[in-house]
Amino acid sequence: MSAVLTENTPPRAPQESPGLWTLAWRRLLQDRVGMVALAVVILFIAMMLASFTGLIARDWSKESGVSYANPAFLAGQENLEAKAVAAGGAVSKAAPVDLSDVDPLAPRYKEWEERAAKIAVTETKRAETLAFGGDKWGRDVLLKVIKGSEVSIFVGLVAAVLATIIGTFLGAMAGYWGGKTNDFLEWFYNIFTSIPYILLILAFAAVFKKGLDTIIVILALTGWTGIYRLVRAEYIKHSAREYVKAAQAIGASHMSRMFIHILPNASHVILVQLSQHVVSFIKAEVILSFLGLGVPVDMVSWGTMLAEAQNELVIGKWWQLFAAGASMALLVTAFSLLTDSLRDALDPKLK
Amino acid sequence: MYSTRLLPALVIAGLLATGLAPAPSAAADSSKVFRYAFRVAETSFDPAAVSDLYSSTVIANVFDAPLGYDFLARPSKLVPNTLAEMPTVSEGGTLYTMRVKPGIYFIDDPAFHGKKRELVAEDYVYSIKRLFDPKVKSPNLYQLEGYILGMDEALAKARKTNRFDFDERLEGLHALDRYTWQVRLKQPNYNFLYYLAHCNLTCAVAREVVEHYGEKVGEHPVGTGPFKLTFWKRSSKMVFDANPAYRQETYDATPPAGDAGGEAIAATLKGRKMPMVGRIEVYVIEEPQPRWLAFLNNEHDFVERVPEEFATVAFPGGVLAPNLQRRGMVLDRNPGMELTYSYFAMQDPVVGGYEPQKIALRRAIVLGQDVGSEISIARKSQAIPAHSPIGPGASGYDENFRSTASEYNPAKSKALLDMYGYVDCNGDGWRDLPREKPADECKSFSIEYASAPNADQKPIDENWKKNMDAIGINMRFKKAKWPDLLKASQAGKLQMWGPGWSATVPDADVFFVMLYGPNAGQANHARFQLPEFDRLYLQAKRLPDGPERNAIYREMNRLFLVYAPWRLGTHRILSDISQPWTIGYRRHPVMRGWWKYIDINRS
Repeated sequence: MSAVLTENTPPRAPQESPGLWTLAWRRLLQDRVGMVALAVVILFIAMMLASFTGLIARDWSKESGVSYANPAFLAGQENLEAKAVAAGGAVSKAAPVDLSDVDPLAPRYKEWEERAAKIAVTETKRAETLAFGGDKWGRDVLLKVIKGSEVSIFVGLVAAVLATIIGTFLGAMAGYWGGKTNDFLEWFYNIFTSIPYILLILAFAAVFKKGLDTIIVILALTGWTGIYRLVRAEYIKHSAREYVKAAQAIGASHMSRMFIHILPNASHVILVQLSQHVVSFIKAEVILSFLGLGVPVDMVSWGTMLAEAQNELVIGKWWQLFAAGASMALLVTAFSLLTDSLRDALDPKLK
Repeated sequence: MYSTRLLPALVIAGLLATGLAPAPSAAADSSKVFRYAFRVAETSFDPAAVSDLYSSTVIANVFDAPLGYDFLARPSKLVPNTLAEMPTVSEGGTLYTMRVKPGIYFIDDPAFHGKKRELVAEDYVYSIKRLFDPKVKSPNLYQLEGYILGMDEALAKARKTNRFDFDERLEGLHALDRYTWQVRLKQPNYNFLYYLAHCNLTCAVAREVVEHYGEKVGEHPVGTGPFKLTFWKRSSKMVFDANPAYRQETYDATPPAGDAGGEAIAATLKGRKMPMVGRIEVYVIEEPQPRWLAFLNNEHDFVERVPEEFATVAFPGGVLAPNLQRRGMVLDRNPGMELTYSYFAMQDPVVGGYEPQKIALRRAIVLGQDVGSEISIARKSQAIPAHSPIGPGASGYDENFRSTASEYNPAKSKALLDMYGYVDCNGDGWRDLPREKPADECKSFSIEYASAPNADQKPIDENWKKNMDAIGINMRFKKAKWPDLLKASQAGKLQMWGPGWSATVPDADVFFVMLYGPNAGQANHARFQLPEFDRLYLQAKRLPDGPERNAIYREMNRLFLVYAPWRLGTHRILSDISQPWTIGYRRHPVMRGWWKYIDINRS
């Protein structure tokens, strides 16, 4: 009888070696500054989404306070602007001129009166103070900052994603194919970078119609160049590596080699670039709006708030500048720190 | 007349601070420097070619019109400037005879080949003819076109050959001898005397200079006036020195009875030789804040039109702030003889037209736009609502006239829109065009308001947007620089726009030119054409200022309010502040050549 030695122990599961993303996430978790920055960024994005869906700051344009209403913590301060508005202008006492003998609308005067009387007009009472002060129309600055974040962050994020997509795609093409494609794209890139950045933005802004989508397109079309260069370099480096050759040997197509095999290995560069561009595009939106090329008149962004605030400072109304400036500084700093931590976490050499 | 650019853009000129020691008061003391800022850049220094307020200010101080104004008299009073006496008006107000004072000389210029050049009657004849030269393309031509005998024929001929024959003797405009010249009008025009004081129409340029510099004459102002251009950095800085060869002219002005400030100025300066300051430095600072701060830091001796946003800190309630009072500053505050308005393009398929339905849309927009909050918030209470197109203080202005359009009444506005079928038929929240039958296709519409992309325009736009939202009209904004808007407007490409208008002669007529049909595409931006209105306009033109003419103006105002080619805006209150050492400034409603009446006294 031969004894067959059976091993009762189940086959050992192969050791899961953590992937690139898991490792990066673990490293990020250990980075305390990075986590705080991430929390701040998430908070801002949550605020933006809540504002976008109308959960908060829906009636930001409501004139709930007096002109330049004081912040609640400065309730006692004298408000000369509101006083001037309340004083009003001298109203002429004379009766309005009678037009009925020359007016083509005269036959329907009576009907007009009756209809007008049916339309109720409500006057709201204006508050003397608002939580963080009011702007010249008496709108709450706090709500304006929240509503403004919607435009600023949205523009920054979307434009950065678009610019990254353009830059990555073109960079991949140039780096992977080399030769004529590379020459052509390099030439294209050179044209773009030979024009000063701000000038290029202004040129685009002058050509396109005014609006939010325009700003996004402008920023994306002008911002892809840096990403393109970095991604191209990564692709040149990687396309000659063994793992890419191996992929070719098993019959992977060009597209799959470019975007399935190489892309994850260049992703640390791309992600870091993405978040850096979010920061610079938020700032660019502010500059565009400040120059009057940005958001339309019935929308608010941090840029338009800063533009409004420049003259308010002289008359002593600092809260709008502070609110918009502080939010922007906070978000931009948090994003920069997050970028820094991301770079550390994603760099494979730091394993 | 000037279209005034309401709002400047982003150019910041360099500031120069100079500290000057007090100097003994002598005529045109070269150590006395008067510095201030323009809010909009100059365009040219050719009197025939400029129509903007700031270039016009320069030319009025460099060139000489035949007549001028008494600096302190209110209402405005004409006085001879280069004429020996006031013109003789004969033949029922159609023949004007002017006699130029002998011994007035142009400043030296290479065009004169080293010779002294005296101002003669022929210079005025030539300068007025220049407005009719098709090559000059004068924006001021419309003010004279059609009024001077024989001029229209000469103009028609010149347009055909593209060359104006300056040597041809014209019946309506010619020199009788070296110092005497005559103008013959086709019909009486009571504004013509004012034209003789309006530099853009009648300032004397020398023919040699125009021919010497050709197209560049706008860069070489060679005049007989109190100042001459000595340094020019385009759109940034201009320096004018007192003309050393300026004729003997002493300060003489008569303030109205009861004007204590004016009397004090007159008492201090009476008999002084003009000009009194030796140098004028003008900087172009378009942004309000640096302009205001340059003044507060004593880098400027005067601030013209304190930016509205600083009104409540500079003069709360119209009284100079205590801290500025302590510094000895002087505030001069008057409603400007001017107007802001927003026009509707009358040829536009949506907002234009003369049928009741179209009138109703415009009238509803007028009723639904809140001028009151535009004044109190956007203009910081530095304006009064306009009830008629006529600027305050102009002859023909009736301060008791109250328009039906002055009230802000969204309920009446909505009712009117409902009545004429401007209802929301597609459910997108905006009102749509009226349909003849309920089964007709629902056509949506929006209104495009053109405005310049400047900080001070923004609250005005916000107010429009807010008000139009409230009555359900979809308003959008077209942003372009002011000169581009002007071009687009003259080409009839704008649907709505709000330019400003300042009077150049103190008469209601200069405001009604903007509504006179034949001026469509020029001063008449709305292209408003109503035969009845035009008839009344011509009728008023033949009458002197008085109750009879005012009755016609009242009729014109009523027609204007009925057809509503504009949303009447405001008359701005203009506030100027002088430093304590700046003596003698008073805002004159129309006279721009005021530099010679200013003195600096730092002791």
